[in-house]
Amino acid sequence: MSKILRQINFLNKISYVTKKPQIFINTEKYNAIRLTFQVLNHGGHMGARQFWRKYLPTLQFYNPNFRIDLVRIKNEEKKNEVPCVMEIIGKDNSVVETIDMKDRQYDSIMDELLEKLDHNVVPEDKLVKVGEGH
Amino acid sequence: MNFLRVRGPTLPNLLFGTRSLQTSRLWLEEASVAPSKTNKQQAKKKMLRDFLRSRKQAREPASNHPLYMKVPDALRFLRAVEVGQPRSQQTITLTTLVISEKGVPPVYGNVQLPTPLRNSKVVVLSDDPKKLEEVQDNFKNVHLVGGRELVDKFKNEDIEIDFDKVVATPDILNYTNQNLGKMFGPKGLLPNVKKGTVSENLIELMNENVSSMPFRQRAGCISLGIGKVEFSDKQILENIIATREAFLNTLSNQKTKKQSTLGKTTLTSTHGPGIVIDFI
Repeated sequence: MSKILRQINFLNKISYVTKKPQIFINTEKYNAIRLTFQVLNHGGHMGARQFWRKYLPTLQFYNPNFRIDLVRIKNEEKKNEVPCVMEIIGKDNSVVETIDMKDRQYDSIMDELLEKLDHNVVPEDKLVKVGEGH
Repeated sequence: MNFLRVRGPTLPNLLFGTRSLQTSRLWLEEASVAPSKTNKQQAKKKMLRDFLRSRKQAREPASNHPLYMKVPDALRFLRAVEVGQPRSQQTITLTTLVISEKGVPPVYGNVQLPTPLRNSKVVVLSDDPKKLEEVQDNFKNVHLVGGRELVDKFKNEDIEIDFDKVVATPDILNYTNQNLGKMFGPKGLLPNVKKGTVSENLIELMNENVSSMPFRQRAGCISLGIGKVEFSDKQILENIIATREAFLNTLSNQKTKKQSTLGKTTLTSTHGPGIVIDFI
């Protein structure tokens, strides 16, 4: 595969191929999303990390002005109990919804987020596909 | 008992296909030591061909490239890639290919970005109140401005030392050295002619030292950090335009017969892909 084709695929993964997070978040209701989890995978934090890697770029791409904060806590010696939660923050900076991400797969976390978040699915004509003209 | 060692095909060599005779290797080594004339000519021709091809590519519009995007679109992708990364790792970088013939010295210079990546705190010391006023008018983000009374305050530890640089005029230099030498010297803050932080013309000094960023051609391209992900599109575009002007200005001042030209320009971020943009 050529370098250019590889990059087009990489960009399309963000803007076109990953379907679940292709949503417009209702910014009149929410201020931000805040995720808290460990740097390392142990203790059931792998799903949260995967969720960040796989779905958050697309979510940010279709909501460029929406704030997404990540708090990654170092706990290499496994001594402390680190929360693994996603908090949806409302307009008055209070936590509206909380999603527990511990011991869960990234897909089920995304499904719960879609359930709890007020959103509209991006229509087909507004999806961005890279490399169509070439 | 003496054993006679014979160089020839042995059982392990036959089994694993190792060659016992090394004639071909010797021949290769000889060839690399003394290349023939035709090889040299061929290499020269190839270099010329590569140069002409890259110059031709540089003349083509950026929009012909399959990875071309307008700057706001490119930034949208870069911001998406950088989601959740720490702020220190969210730098947006501009890389431009420089096409120059063999023997042309590398391009280098300074850019003054309208929105710098980091606001450095600068203290300006001078006995002349007019010069200080001039500095305050031109540089709104200057940290502290003052004369001998400010030096005394530093000496009495009335003001916290939390700045990055001190620039001064020669008239106040002796007084500063006497009073603040022990305090500023070990921290590398003391104004010094050799460092280029002392001059009569404070405006020029500020331009050279504070908000400007140096760039230099390395490995056939110039690479320069022009913003952070949280900058607005307008701020990044202004920085790109300032960078472009600085690059072109440096190229036009090159002291060679054959000027270098700028080629493909990409915008990228710390973890992001390189996206081709319009630059020239």
